Amino acid sequence: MRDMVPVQARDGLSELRRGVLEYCVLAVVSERESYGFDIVRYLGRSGGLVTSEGTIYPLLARLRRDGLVTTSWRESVSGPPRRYYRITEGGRRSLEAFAADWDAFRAAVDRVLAGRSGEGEADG
Amino acid sequence: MAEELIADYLARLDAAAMALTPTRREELRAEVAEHIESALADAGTRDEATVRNVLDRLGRAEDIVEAEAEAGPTSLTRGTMPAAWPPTTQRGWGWVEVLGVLVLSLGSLVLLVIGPLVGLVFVWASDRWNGRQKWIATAIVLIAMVAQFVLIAALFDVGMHGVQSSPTTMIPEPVFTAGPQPMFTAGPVPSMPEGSVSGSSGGTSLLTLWLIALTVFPISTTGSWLAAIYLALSMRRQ
Repeated sequence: MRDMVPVQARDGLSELRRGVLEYCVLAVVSERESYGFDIVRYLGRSGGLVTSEGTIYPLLARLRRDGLVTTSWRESVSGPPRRYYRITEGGRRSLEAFAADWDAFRAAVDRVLAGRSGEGEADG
Repeated sequence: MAEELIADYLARLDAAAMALTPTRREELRAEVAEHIESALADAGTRDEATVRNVLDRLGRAEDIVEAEAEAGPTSLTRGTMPAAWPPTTQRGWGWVEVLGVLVLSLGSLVLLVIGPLVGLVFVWASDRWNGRQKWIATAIVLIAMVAQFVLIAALFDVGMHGVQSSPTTMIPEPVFTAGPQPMFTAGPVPSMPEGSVSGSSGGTSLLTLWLIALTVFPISTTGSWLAAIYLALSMRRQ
């Protein structure tokens, strides 16, 4: 039974990651126009945000369909032209709304977690 | 070895991406291939360990395609299509399909009526054509056959009894046996002169019968050919 706990926690984390990843992608392309691998590299450097890097491409396709990002082809110094992603006005609005919600959400989770650890210390 | 790993990975992606639209499939493949190239360029080496690392980080090809399905149904062909789509090996020509089309087109030359019907049995046994295509092919064959019988019956009637005869009372049974095998009707015809308007017309009606048979004979054959062509074309479109 004890082994089950970390597995469930990891599943919960991957759900959470999946939910926030699109906004992280929007945040990256809101700073500057980027191509796929660029976005993945940046998110990878930020640590633990992307587990299967390949799944970023279906996500980018959806953001494009939803009109949150636009793309343009650019020549690259090495190899074939690359598809660059840039945020749209709609994408920016969506990102701002999420950023505000996220602040409140994070604060709430932090408060609950802090309260629980406080109780744990009292019990111990 | 490193290049083989990449080729294997992209092949797995292709296989997993069969449910996507062709456009999106190519797009996704190009993006993933570009990702691999960028990552390797970034690493500055293409040795096996580096390639393995890059592919590991990409994740399973199947997971990428699965994420595509989660990202919305628009990237898939249509709501229910992926499930209904048979796997790759179930598409294209198999021996049942080749037999079906061959027997359908050549069968009538060997055995009238029965030949094309055997062809249709093969067609219905195949799972590569959908129900609609099978029904269309069957309808073409049957309509042509019925048209041939009706024409033979009508012309036979006119040839035997003249235009004055009432068609309702004058469709004699032998007409129908003459239908499927018009070539062999020469024998029985003279044995039924009761309906003839005059005895002198016996010789001419035999000749007329032959002409009718030769004129009308190609109708059902053409129908079978049309059905075969239709099935072959609809196979190519898939």
